[in-house]
Order: sequence, then structure tokens, then C-alpha cells
Amino acid sequence: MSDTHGAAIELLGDPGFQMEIDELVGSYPKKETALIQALHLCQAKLRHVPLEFQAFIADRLGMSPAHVKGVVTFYEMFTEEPLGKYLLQVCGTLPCMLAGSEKLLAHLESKLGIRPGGTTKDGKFSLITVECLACCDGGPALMVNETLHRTVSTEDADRILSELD
Amino acid sequence: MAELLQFLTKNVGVSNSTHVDTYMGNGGYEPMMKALHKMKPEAVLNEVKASNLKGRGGAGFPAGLKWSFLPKEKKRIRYLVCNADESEPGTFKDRLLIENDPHLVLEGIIIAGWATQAKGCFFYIRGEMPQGARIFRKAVDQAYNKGFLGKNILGSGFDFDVWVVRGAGAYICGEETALMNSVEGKRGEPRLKPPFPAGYGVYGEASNINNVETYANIPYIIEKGADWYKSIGSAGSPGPRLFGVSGHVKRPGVYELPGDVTVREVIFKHAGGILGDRELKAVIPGGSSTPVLRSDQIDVPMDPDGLGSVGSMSGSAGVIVMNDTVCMVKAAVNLAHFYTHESCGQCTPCREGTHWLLDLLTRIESGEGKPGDPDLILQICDNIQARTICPLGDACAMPVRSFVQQFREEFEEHIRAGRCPLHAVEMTTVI
Repeated sequence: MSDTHGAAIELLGDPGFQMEIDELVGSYPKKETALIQALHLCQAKLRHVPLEFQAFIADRLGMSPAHVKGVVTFYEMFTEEPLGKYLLQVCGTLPCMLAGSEKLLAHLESKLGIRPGGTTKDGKFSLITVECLACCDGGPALMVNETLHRTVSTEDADRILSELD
Repeated sequence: MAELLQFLTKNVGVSNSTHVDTYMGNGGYEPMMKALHKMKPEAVLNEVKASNLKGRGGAGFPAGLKWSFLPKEKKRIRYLVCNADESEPGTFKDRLLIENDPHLVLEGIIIAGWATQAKGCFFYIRGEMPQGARIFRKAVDQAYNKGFLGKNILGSGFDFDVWVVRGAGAYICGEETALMNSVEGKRGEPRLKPPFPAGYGVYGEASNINNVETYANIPYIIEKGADWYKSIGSAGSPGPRLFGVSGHVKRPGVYELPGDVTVREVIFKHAGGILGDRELKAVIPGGSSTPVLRSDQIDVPMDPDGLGSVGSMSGSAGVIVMNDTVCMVKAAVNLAHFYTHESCGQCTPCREGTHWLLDLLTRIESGEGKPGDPDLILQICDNIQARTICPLGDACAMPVRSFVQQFREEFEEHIRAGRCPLHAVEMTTVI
């Protein structure tokens, strides 16, 4: 807990990060549009959106922290608890199910010893099921952080995971 | 027999297709120059209206007519929005355009901006498409460098900007007013209409929203004219259209075809027929929210009249094919799970109803269904449909109702036998 708190304080004190936020805010006709984009930045850097950042961005954009929390908790891609270094997203929607996503998910569950929603003890992998990734001709689809993998067999999954450090 | 077309997909597969110079080398941005230099905004709008281009996001509303709803007063701010929040299960055509030919979409947006004299366009792309967002941002930067965006575009006196906005994982943000709330940094909850976006949209300004593929059609309409456009497809579905085929076919993918191609041709001629050389059992023709068809209902054109005659619609043209190894109750459970998860929770019929549908379907699938369950499901569908702010409730009720009605015997059999009649059959998969 203290680690994530420290990381948030460090990020908010980083002038480079402040500049990134300023640039984002200035790139839209109204500053409110920058909120979700700024939350993405934070989620990518800290693997979650801590309350410290919520308070900071609320103040920066002239919103209430409650509004920001409402937004954070509405959208699937933002979490208030840290995710693992690699987020494994298995599409479970009908076209991917028809392609074999249940086998892929079962394989990852037993390989990593976690259920969807879980994170491995070493903090390396989080596993979730996601709704349609708009990759229906490449099912089963597996997205690892920002990289999309198509038609992923259990062997492919083993290879993909082994290449992550 | 409908042959493959190459308009919307002309640059797909071309090396370095996302670069502005490649695009221009293949005739790109000439329609935009024609519009800006030789056509008044009203002439562009009238041409698009005359083409009867139907919106490709799912609802099929005529795009030109929609543009004409925007107020014309000079002093009003008008915004365009491009809906790139592609997330209807079975739909993956916009991804193809964004990742392979972003300039075609962008050119369509700029022409639409000229026609409607808009200030700029919010390009709202799914959070789960970071690669697409990067590609599109790069295309936007290139267009600014060429003078196709920004102040006084090509000396026309027209100023126009494009802002790329990422979503963050919410199917509901594909609904136009939820999307607009999301652009404003809010929860993606749909707004009660009226007021409609044309009068009160993004940040309360007059706004017009179209789908990615809709914009991609615009340069061709300006280049070749409305009459050429209407010569492809049928009156109800003019022009080239992208069909995404997934599930149990040998060649899943996006196929560009006339809007009145038959379901059978899409599946058997273009997508290579049924995977595993099994029998076709069911087809969802237009994305997961459209009613399912049985295998004896596929000899109809994929336009409103054709699919309407068998009780369905072309929606987003995402064709999901299921062979005879698929349990229809299991498929319905999967769809109900999706909509239950994606309901924003504002309206009771949707928030509660989707859960009830999922619970009932799950209980039938697991062999614990009761004799009245199919009728109870239909009754819940009645109580969801047309009783909510946005169409998400309908999008769940329509397919679920159709699964029960089209495959009622299979539902009854689960309940009678206390287990799935296909329990001994292994479902075909590609892995």
C-alpha cells in the first residue's frame, strides 16, 4: 500500500508528467475532454488510478473528486487497485467463444493459478475476461497490455507469456 | 452473384497504406479538393442526401438527412463526431479502416465538416484500440502538415480541426449521447432525448455523429456522384458495404460487397462455407443485437427489405455464423452476459431485466430450467423493449427473444431432459 502511495506522489511530483498533462488539457477545445485521457496516462504508468491522482486531476480540471471517482469506476479500463505488470485480456464474447476462447481461458487460469480478476503473487500477470475486442475474425483474441494477439492457441499463449520478462 | 468490391478496401493491403503520400498517390484527397474548391457546402450536402447513404453504425439512418438537421445559423457552433467505438460483438470492420486506411475516414470527415460548416470533429475511438488511436493520430498530424486541417484549409477560408479522444472500455459509449457525455469527461450514460444531438450535443452545441464506415463512403460519393453510388446495391441499402464474417466459417474476415448481397452468398461464396464441413445451424446477420436466423432463412438480401422479411435487420453487418455443434441456449447465455455486463444501470427495465434474462438462460443451460421459463423469458423481453432511455435494453431483448422463438424446441429439450441435448458433441473451434 505504501509503495503505491509513494509511486503516486512521485509521479505527481514529476515535471515531465505535469507537462504531459498540460499538453493533453491544451489539445482539446474544452478541458473536460482531457479527463479520461489523463486517467489513461495514469493507469498506464501506475497500473491503477489512485485517489491521490483523482484528487490532483479533479483540481487541475476544476471538477469535484466525486465526479472523477464516478468516472474512474464507470469505465472498465480504470482500476483503483494496481494491476499486474502484464494485463492478459481474454475476449469471451460469442465470436471468440465459437473460436475456442473457453479453452484459452481455462489454459491461462491453470497455467497462472489465478481466476479472472486475479493477479499472480509476483505481480507479473493479471487475468481478466473482456467483452468483444472487435477482432472477431481473429478469435480467440488475447490482448496483453496494448498488444493484440489473434487466433491464439494454448501453445501460442505459452509462447507469448514466455517472451514477457 | 455478388462479386467483391474495392472502394472502401482499395488501400487495404497496400504497403504503407496509412501514410498520407501513399493515400494521395492513389487518388486520395482529390474528392476533398473538389468539394472545397468547386462545390458549395449545400451542394455537398445535397449530393450525400441524394446518394441515400445509410449510416453504418447499426441504425441505418440516412446520413445526408441527419446532416440537414443541424442548425444553419452562422453564429452557432457545430461539432461533428466520428463514432469509432466499435464494440458490437461480431463487428470489426471499422478497425480495418482505421488501421489500414485512416486517411479515407479522415477525408470523409473533412468533407462532412465542409458540408455542415462545422468547427471540428471529435474522433472517439475505443480505449481497447490503442494501435488504431496511434495510427489515426499520425494521420491527423500528416493532414495538418499538408494543410488539410487547421486554419483556412487550402485557401478556402474554412477552418476545421480533428481531436482524437480515447474511450475507456464501455460498450454503451457507442450510443450517441453516451459517447457525447464521455467526450465531456463524464460517465457514459445515455441522455434522455429530446433534445437531440443536432440541437444540443457535445458541450451543448449542435452536433452530428456518424460511424467510421459512413464517413469512408463520402469521398466516393463526391468523386463519382450519387447516381453512381445508387447503382450499387439496392434502394434500401445503396453503395458498397463492409460485411464482417466471424464464427464457424472457413475464411472469417471483412468482405466489401453490395448492400443487397444475400446471406448465403456472404457465408458460402465469400467466407468459404461452414467450418468443419458441418451443417449451418444459425446466423446472426448484423451484429449481436440483431435477431438470429435459422439455416432455412438465408436466401434473402442483407438489406432492410430482405432481412426484414425474415424478422431481422442488417445492423452493423457483423455476420456471426454457428454450425450444428453449437448449443443455442449457450449462445444466448453468452449474449445475455454481454448485455448484462454492459448495461449502464440508469433504467430499471434494462439493469434488472438483463440480469433476469441471464439468470433464466443460465438455469436452462445448466439443466435446471422449469417448464414456464421460455415464456417467462419472452415476457421479460416485452418488459424491457421500448421502455428505456437508450436501445441497449432492446439490443439484449431482441436477440434473446429470437433465440427462444427460432429454436424453442431446443430450449424445451434442455428443460425436459435436464441437460443439453448436445452434451456429447464437442463444439467446433479454430484452436
